Amino acid sequence: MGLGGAAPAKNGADVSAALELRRVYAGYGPFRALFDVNLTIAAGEAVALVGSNGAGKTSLARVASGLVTPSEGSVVVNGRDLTRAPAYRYARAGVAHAPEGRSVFATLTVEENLELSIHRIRGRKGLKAGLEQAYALYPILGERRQQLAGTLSGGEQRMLTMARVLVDAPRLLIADELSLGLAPLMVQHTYEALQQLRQSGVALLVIEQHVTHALALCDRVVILDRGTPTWIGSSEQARTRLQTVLHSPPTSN
Amino acid sequence: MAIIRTQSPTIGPKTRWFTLFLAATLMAASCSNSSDDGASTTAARPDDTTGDTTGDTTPAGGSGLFEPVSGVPGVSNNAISFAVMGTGAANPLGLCLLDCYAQGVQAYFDYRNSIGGVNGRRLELSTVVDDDLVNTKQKALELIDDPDVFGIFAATVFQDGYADIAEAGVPMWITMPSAAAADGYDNMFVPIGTPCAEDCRSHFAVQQAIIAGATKVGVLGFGVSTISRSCVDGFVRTFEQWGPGLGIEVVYKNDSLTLGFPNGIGPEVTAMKDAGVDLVQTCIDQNSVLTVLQELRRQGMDDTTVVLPQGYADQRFIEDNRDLLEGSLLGVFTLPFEANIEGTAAATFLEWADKSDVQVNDFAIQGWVDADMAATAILAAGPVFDRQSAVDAFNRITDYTAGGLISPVDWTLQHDAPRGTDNLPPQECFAFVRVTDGAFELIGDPDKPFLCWDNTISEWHDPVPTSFT
Amino acid sequence: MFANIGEDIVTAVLQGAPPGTVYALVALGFVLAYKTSGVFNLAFGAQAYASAVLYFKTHAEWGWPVLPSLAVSVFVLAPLVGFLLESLIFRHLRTAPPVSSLVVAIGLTIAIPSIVDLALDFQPRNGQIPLGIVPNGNSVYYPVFDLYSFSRDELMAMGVATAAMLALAAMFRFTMVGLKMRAVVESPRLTELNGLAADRISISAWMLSSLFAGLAGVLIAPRFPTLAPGRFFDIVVVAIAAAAVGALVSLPRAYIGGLALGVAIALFNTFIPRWANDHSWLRPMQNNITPALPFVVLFLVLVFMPGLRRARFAADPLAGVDPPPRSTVIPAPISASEIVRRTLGTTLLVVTLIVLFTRGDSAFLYLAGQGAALAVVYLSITIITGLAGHISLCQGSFAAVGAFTTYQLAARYDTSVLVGAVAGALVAAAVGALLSVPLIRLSGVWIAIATLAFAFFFDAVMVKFSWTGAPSGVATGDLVVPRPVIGPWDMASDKSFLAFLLAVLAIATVAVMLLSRSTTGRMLRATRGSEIAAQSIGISPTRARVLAFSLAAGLAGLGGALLVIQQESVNYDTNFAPFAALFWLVLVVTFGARAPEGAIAGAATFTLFDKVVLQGTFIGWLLRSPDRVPGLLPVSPKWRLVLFGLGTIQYASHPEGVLEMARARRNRRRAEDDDHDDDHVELALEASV
Repeated sequence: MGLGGAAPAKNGADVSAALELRRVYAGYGPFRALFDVNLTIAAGEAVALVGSNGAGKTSLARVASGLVTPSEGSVVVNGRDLTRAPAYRYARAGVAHAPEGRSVFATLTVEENLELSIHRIRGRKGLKAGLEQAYALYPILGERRQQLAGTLSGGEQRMLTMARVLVDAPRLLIADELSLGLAPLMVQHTYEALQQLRQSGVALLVIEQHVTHALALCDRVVILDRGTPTWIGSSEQARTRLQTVLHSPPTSN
Repeated sequence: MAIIRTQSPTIGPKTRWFTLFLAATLMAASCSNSSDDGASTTAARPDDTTGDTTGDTTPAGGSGLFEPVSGVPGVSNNAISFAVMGTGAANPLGLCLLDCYAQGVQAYFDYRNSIGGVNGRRLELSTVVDDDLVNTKQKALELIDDPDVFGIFAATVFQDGYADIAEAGVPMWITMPSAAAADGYDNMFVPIGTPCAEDCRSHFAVQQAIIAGATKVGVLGFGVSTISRSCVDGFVRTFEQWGPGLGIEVVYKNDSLTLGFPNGIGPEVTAMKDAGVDLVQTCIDQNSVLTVLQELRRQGMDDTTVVLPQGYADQRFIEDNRDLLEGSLLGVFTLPFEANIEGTAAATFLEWADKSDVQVNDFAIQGWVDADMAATAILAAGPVFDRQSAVDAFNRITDYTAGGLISPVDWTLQHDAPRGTDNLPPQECFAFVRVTDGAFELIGDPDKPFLCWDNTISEWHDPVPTSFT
Repeated sequence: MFANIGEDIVTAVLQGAPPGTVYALVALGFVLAYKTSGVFNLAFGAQAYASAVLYFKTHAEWGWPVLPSLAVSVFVLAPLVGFLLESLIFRHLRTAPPVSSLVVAIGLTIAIPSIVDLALDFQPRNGQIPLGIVPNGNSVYYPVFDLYSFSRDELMAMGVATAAMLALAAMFRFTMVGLKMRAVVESPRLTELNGLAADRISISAWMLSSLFAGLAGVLIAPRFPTLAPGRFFDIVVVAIAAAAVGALVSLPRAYIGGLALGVAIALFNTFIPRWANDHSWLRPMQNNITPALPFVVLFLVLVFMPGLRRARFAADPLAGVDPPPRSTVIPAPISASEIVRRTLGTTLLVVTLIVLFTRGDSAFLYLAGQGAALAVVYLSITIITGLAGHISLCQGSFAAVGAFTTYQLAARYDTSVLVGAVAGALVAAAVGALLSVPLIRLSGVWIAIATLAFAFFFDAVMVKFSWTGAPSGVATGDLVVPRPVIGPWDMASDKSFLAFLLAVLAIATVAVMLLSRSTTGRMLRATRGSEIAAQSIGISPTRARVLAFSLAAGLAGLGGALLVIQQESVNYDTNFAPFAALFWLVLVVTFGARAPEGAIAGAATFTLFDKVVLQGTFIGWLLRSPDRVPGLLPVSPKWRLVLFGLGTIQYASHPEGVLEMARARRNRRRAEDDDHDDDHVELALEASV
């Protein structure tokens, strides 16, 4: 069971894991998506979640952020059991989720999108400062502040999401396919931002098709197959295995 | 002749409903009063037909003789049973239709039973049926098959199924608003005879203008109802015929008002004001008239008289709206209670209405009259009777007045609706009241409350005050 | 003369202000509801009615003073209704397509007034004009420019409308409340990810818009001679036109639109009659366009304002989080037990028919005939809604076209009513085809609203023409329609005509089923799934839509003709009025719009539910004696409206309807029992209409 063991805390002050999934089973209606998922993300740790399509990565992300309630098992965020809690409690407990696909409000303007988050965290007084901070990070958002977020390009929408997250200062960021559909330059920007977050002590759960990028950023890798983790190890181990797989002769199966 | 438009699949939802009750019926009713040669006396008419109650308040022929009768639906050795079918709570205008009508019938039955019944039997209501506005035909069909029903009293909003009842041979007594359905049926009876169906004119409209001292008349009707529009046409035609000689004309006519006045009637009333209208004839429902009155007051037309479409004897309605209704006119086809009614059937009605706590309105009066017709029919048929013989016997009466309550109806003729000047009864009689201080006030001679016009004279002439008691 | 015209214009504007305020209030409420909940709340009028009735009850009947009455009816009842609607119904419809919510709103429009009437034992009484909230509200007037005057009630309404518009607009502009509500409308889940309690916000949104509905109801009530739910619904339809001016999202523009509409109508009513005196060609306009003006405006706005249709609507990216609406399960290939069941069902039906024919009394025969004719009309709903996926709220008008055509041909040219019925169907089909053309670029909810506008237009205008509707001067009872005679078979008796009707119904059912399985049927279903996808495989959505509408209209016209032949007279008001047609939709959709069984079950319910269930006939039959029926029966027919109005609620999660849902459940259970799944589970792309 050593697969899901907690990694040592970075700063001794805060010991509770950012996220713990214990024996989680989950699904939508009659369809089962996750089976016996055990995963612990320590404070400040970065974990990559990889797997083929339909493996359940997004489902796991949704369980982790409270969008989906597990049918069995528990979800503990920063030491608090939030299994049955609605998703906004997760958000208020410091879990930020940038969902796959569109993660901004298309019918609200850029500024309104930001206001929603900032107001919740910093109140009316902190609104102006927060906005300025966001626009400083991403000047292009500042240029497009009155534009409907739905009319932004994919990259700009990601920027908007990142801006929201950065101003948010969460404890855990779940980034679901953040680089999907982005030009290589944008991908680079994105991962730089994620790196920044890491350095400021934010835990990361990164779901990625681009395994290489994820490996570069993260400490550990979880491979999900048909709803259950089949391999958990450090990035080093993952890289080694990858090399082996890539360079070994094709097997008979 | 009430044509009610409703859009509801059943009660409640959207009721675009207006009734032209007395407006159309008054209009038409004027064509249906029959009488003798128009003699204007107050003398009681002699009994010239057996078993009828002409000119007399006590039933002629007493209460008939008992003889066993078998095989007639609704007739047992002890009782003759009738059904009342009507629209109750589902009536979207909130008129007391079924309840008050049934109470009127029951009051008459109580009275009749207290003086010996009919042919040795009690009269009773075996069933009171509410058609919930839209199930008229279904209820009618059910009543046709009911073995405990001799005849049917009907006070419904729609008239579906009436033809079925008549064709099944069941005698039927109905109310004025439904009267158009009676045209041509020998076993369907309307309190004052089947009203005019087409090309109608009525003297009473002109008389109301004269009473009000008005010379410029406005007429209002709803666009979506054919009956409302024909009512308007009737008034226009009336004033075209008799107005010029009297200096009265219709200066405003609107038969395309929207039911419920969603957009108010400001512009329409302004147009009437500009035209100088001083009398408004209404082919709309009672409640909408209140709205018209409010708008008239708002625009300062306090001197304009409004004619109410119906609602005689509805004391509650008058009291609730006494300020608005002050000075409004109403034509009445039954003997007004404000006349000298002592010793007449009107007094009997009030007495028995009081005993049974009847809520008096014009439907209660019609219920009483209808019930009197039923009793009269059976008595006229003799001790051994069935549906057809009762109907035939009643149809031989040429001057039925329900004890003086209504002007005489010649039932040998009045099953066919008058059209234009065809089949017009010899005279048209009406009484007129005005709303004064929250009550009705009779206009005219209390001893001779009815004003009668000779329908054979085509020019305008002054009516003759008459009494039928 | 010209100075007078100026005065007249101002007078007309002033006269248009009070009704315009009513429209503005309702338009504001409608836009508020749409902005804060994303729902096309047609039931807004019903909610307003509820508060108006409670206010009337407490203040006018029980004599409470104004403030407590107002508090209870506007500040307690209204938000409570909103809370219940949100938590019990609309929260679960958040991920359903807008059309589902519309259907539910229609069901509520029918159910809520009946619930209110039953719960409060409310009956209108003649002569009691509803009181407003101001003392002497309708008897004290204040002159304006010496040209007109406003009553206290009217001034109050104007004041509240203006204040509300400003307050709400400010709320949306300057506070976060509006922003949060709009976010929840787009995606509740995404809102939660932002740390906001979406459910709580949704509840507040509904409570706010319901409060406004209650307030509007109490302010509007004094304008009506009596309180009737139909009045309130009329106003909602008109208000949509006003709201549409503001593209459904601008509160100030909705307010102005409402006022403008009232003023425009007053101007029309002032000047057209005058001009018509000199130019008689204007007379038809005066008589007909003015009452229909709002509906014409609505229709034109829908067709010509593209901004409206592209109003900010974005799909919820996280819709998939909540279990999606149950997919349609097409039943397994007929298995043995299914055959047995169907045989049993058919046998039962045949037995019932035999009993009906031999022992049914005339009332039952009559009702059965009604049901059969209506079933033909309801089949048209299975075509337009079940097959093609559009909500059409004007099937009543198409049926009326068929009915009137039959009558006119029989009355004027002495044509056989059967020929007339066929002609009626053709004319109705043509009308349907014509109507669908301007609607080409509309979709979903907008088609529904456009058809609603047409239904009201027809109701206000077309019915009055002597060549479409009843000829003038003729009493309703005189619109006689004779029964047909085929050879020696005279169908004057209800029994023989019922047999004929059942034959026609059977043919129509088979035709509809064949259509469904035919290429045409598939083509219509394809466009229902996605018009763009259909286009990509060469199907012309325009042709499909025109075809769907004309087929549905034609069938409705046939049904309408049969109905009036069965009744032997044309009674437009009880049969074909717009509100009645709403209830038709509700019934068919509840039972299942995709299969003929839904139509037949719906028609049977419409005609027989009252008699058989609500009046206790069935219980009496079970107990063998009509006298042993429990005292609380017969129940008011309003219960029928309540039950089936509320039945639409399950529509969103089960768009296939009750019947198919039951069948699917049986199939699923059978599939689970079998070890091999050879069922076709068609995860319908068109999971919902």
